[in-house]
Amino acid sequence: MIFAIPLSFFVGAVFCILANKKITAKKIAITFALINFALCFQGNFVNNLLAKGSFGLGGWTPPYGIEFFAEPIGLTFVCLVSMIGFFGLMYAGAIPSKSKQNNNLFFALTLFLLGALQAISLSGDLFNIYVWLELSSICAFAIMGYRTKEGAFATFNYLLAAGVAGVIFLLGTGLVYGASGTLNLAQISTLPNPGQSISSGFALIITSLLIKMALTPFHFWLPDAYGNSPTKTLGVIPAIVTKAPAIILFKIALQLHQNQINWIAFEFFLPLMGAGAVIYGSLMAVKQAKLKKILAYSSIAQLGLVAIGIGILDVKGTLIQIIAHSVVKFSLFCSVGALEHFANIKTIDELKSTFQKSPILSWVFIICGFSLAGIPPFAGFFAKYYLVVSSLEKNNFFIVAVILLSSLLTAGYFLKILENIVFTKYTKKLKSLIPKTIYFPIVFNCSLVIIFGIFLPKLISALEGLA
Amino acid sequence: MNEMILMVLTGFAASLCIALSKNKHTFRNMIFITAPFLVLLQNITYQKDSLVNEIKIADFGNGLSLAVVDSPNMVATLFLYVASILWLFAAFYTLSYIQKNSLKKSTRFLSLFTLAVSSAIGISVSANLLSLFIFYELLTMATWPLVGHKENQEAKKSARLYLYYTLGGASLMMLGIVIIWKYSGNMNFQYANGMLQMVPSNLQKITMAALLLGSSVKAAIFPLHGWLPKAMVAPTPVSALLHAVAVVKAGVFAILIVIHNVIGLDLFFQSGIYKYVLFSSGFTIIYASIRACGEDNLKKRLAYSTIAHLSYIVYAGCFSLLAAVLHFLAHALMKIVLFMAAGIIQTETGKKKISEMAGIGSMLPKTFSAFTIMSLGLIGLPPVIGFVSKFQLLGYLPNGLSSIYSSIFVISGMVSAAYLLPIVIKGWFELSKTKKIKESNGMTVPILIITLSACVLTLLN
Repeated sequence: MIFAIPLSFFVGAVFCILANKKITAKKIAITFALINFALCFQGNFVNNLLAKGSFGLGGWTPPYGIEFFAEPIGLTFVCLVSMIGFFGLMYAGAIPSKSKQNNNLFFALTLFLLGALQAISLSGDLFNIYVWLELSSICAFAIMGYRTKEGAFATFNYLLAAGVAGVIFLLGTGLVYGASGTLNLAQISTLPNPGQSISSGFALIITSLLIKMALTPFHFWLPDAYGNSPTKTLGVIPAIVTKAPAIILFKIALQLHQNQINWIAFEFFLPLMGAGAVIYGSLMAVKQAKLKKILAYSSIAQLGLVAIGIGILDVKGTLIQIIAHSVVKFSLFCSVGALEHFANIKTIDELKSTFQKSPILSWVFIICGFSLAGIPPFAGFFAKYYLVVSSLEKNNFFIVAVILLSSLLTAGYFLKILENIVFTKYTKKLKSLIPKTIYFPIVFNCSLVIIFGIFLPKLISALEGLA
Repeated sequence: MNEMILMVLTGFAASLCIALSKNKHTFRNMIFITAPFLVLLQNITYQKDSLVNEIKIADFGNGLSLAVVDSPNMVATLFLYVASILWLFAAFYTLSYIQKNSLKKSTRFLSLFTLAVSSAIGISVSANLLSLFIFYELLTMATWPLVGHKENQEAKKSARLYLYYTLGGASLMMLGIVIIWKYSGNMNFQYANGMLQMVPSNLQKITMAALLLGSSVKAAIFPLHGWLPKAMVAPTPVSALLHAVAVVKAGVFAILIVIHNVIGLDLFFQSGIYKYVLFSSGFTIIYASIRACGEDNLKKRLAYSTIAHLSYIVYAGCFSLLAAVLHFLAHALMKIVLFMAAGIIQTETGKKKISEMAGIGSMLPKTFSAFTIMSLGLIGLPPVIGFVSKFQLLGYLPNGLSSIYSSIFVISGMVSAAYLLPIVIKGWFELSKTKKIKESNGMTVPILIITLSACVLTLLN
C-alpha cells in the first residue's frame, strides 16, 4: 500500500495535463491531494508512522528490484509533504492567474514535485533517491520560473546548483556501487569492512545533499529563487523543497553513521556549517528590505539548525525543527504572497498598513515570528530545547551557545517586521482586498504552530521511543 | 478541572474576551474589573488537594510538562496574593487612567495588561522550571507591546531593548533548565531541594551562572538592569503594576527559587557563588540609589529606586527567606503607590519632571499625602510597612557579615532619603501660584486604600 501514496500524486499529475475548462486542473489537483492526505492520515495515524519494513516494487525484492523502505522518519516527512502539499495547492488555487493561459502544467508539475518528494523519503536505495531528487529539482525549477521573466532568471542559479549537485550525487553513487556492488542502503549498512571508496562516495553524496538543502556556504541559489518566484508557488516550494534533502541526509546518517561513514568528521563539520548558517542567515536577513528576501534568509538560518541536529544525530530536535519550520514558513510565505498579490505590500516599510488591511495576517506574522524565535508555547521551542540537550550530550558548548543565541538573532530581523505591524497608527479600517479563500490554508497552518507546540513533542518522543 | 488551573486560566480567558470585544467598551471594562475579582476569590476559597504534587495542564512527554502546583510554598503564596490583590486596585486605576488620558488602542492595552498579570500569576503557581519558563516568556511577549504602547521612536526603541534583554536572559535560563532536566529528570521545584546536586560537578557552575544570570535580567540586577529605566516610557499603569510588581517580582521570585530550591542553600554557600550574588546585588543597591539621585524624571527616579530595592530582596534572600518575603510585600505595596501617584500627577498637571513639581502637594493633597507616606516607608521610617521590613533585613543578617554588609543598608537608606525627600519637600513647602485641582476618585481611591492597608499591616506585624 505504501506505493499508493506517492502514486496518487503522479496519477493526479497526468490527469491535470488532460484537464479542460469544465474540470479544471485546480479541482483535479486538490482532489488528488485530498486522496493523498487521506491515505497518509488514515486509520491509526501513529501506528502508520511506525510501520517499518521494506517493500519491493512490483514484487521484485532487493537487491534487484526497486525498494521502498518505510521507517518513522521518512513516513513523518511523507505526511508532512501530504499536508503542506494539500494546503499549498489550495493556496495556489486561490491566487487568480494573470494571464489567460490555463494552469494545467503548473498543477501537474506541482503534483509531480510532491510525489517525488514523498518518493524520496520512502526510497531505500541510492539510485532511486537520485532519480527522485532530480525529478523534484526539475519540477521545482520549472514551477519557480513558471511563465515569469524574473522568476526564470532567478531560478537559473538554482538550476546550476541542482545540476552540479546531481552530478556529484551520481558520482558518489557510482563510487559506492563500484566498491560494494549494491546500492541498497540497508545492505550497505551490513558491510563489515567498508573501504576508502565507499566513505569517499558518501562524502560526495552528502556534499550534494548539502548543496540541495542550501546549507551555508552552498546557499547562494536560495535567496534569489525564493525572492522572485511567483506567488502561486510560495505555498509548496519554500516549506518543503529544501527539507527533503535534509531528511535523506538524516536517514543516511542514522543508517550508516556507525560503520560506513566517517561520521566523526561530519559531527564536527555539519554543526559548524549549521552554526555558520544560523549566524550568516540571520545577519543577512537584517539587511533586507523585501519581505520575501527576509524570509528566504531566515530559511537559511533555520536550515542551519536542522543541519546542527543532523550533525549531532538528534532525532527529536531535527524532526520537530523540520516540521515546525515547514508549518511556520508555509504560513509566513503564504501571508507575504497574499499581501504582495492583493494589497501590494512588498517591503518592510509598506507593512505599516497591514493591520488595517488584514488583521488575520498580522496575527499570523506575530505567532509565526515568536515561533521562529523559539519562544514557548509555540512549535519552534522544543526543537531548540532538544537540540540543546543533544549538543550538551556531545559536550559541544559552541553549538549550545549558537542555538541559544539564535532566538536573539531571529528577534534581530523579525522584530523589524513585528514593530511595523504592531506599532502603527490606526487610521480608518481599509477595505480588505484579500479574498477569504486564501485565509483557510494560512490560518489552519498558523493554528498548527500553536497546536504542534503542545502535542508535537510528545508524538515525536513516542516515535523515537518505538522506532 | 482543578481549581488552581482554573485560576490561571481565568486571566487568560479574560484577556482573550477583552481582545475579542470589538467596540463594546462597557463589556470590556466589566471583564477587566471582574477578572482580578474572580482570581482573588478563587485564591481565597482555594483548598488544597494534598494528594497530588503537581497538576498537569499539558504534557510534552519525557517528563516535561506544563504544570501548576497544588499547594504553593511561602514565597509563591505571597507572590500570588500580592499580584492578585494589587491587580484589582491597578484595574480600577487603569480604567480611569485610560479615560483621563484618552489612551489610544485601549482594547489592546487592556487585553495585554490582563495577559501579563495572568502570566505573572502563572509564574507564581508553576510547579516546575519549564512551566516557570513558559509563563516567563508569555510575560515577556505580553509586556513588549505594552512598553512600546506610545508608538513613538523612543517607545519602540525601549521595547526593542526590553525584548533583547529578556530574550537573552531567557536563553541563559533555558540552558540551566536543560541541564537540570537532563541530570535530575524532574524539575518540580516547589517540593524538591537542591536539584543541582545531581548535576555533575563540572557543569554545576555553568548551571548556577546560567540560571542566576537568566533570572536576574527581569530582576534588574546590575549589569542587566538597563532595560528598566528605559521601559518607563510605557503608560503609568504598566510601570506601576508590571514594572514595579509583576515583571520584576517575577524575576526576583525566580532568583529566590533558584537559590533556595534549585541550588539549595548548602551548595549555594559551599560553592562560593553566594559571594557573586551578594556582591552584585550589594553593588546594585548602592549604584542604583546614587543613579536615582541624578534623575530628574520622576518615573525614572522611581525606576532606579525599584532596581535598588529588588536587590535588597535578593540580598536578603541569600540569608533568610522570611526577610526577603517581607520586603517583597512591602516594596510591592509602596512602589505601586508611588508610581500610581506619579501617574496621577502627570495626568492632572502634565508634569513629569521633579524640577517642575513645586507646590504639587497643595494642588493634589490626597495623592501627594499617599506619596509622602510611602516615600517615608521606602526610606525605612515608620509608620509604613517598609520600616518593619528594613528592620527585619538588618536583623536577619548573619553575625559574621554584619559589620560590612549591614552598612550597605544604612548607606542606601540615607541615599534613598536623599532622592525621595527633596520631592516631598518640594511638593509641600515650595509654593507656587497654582490652584487646587480636583482629583479624580477612580485614580486616587485605589492608592489611598493601599496606603492605608500598608499602615495597618505595620501595626499587625
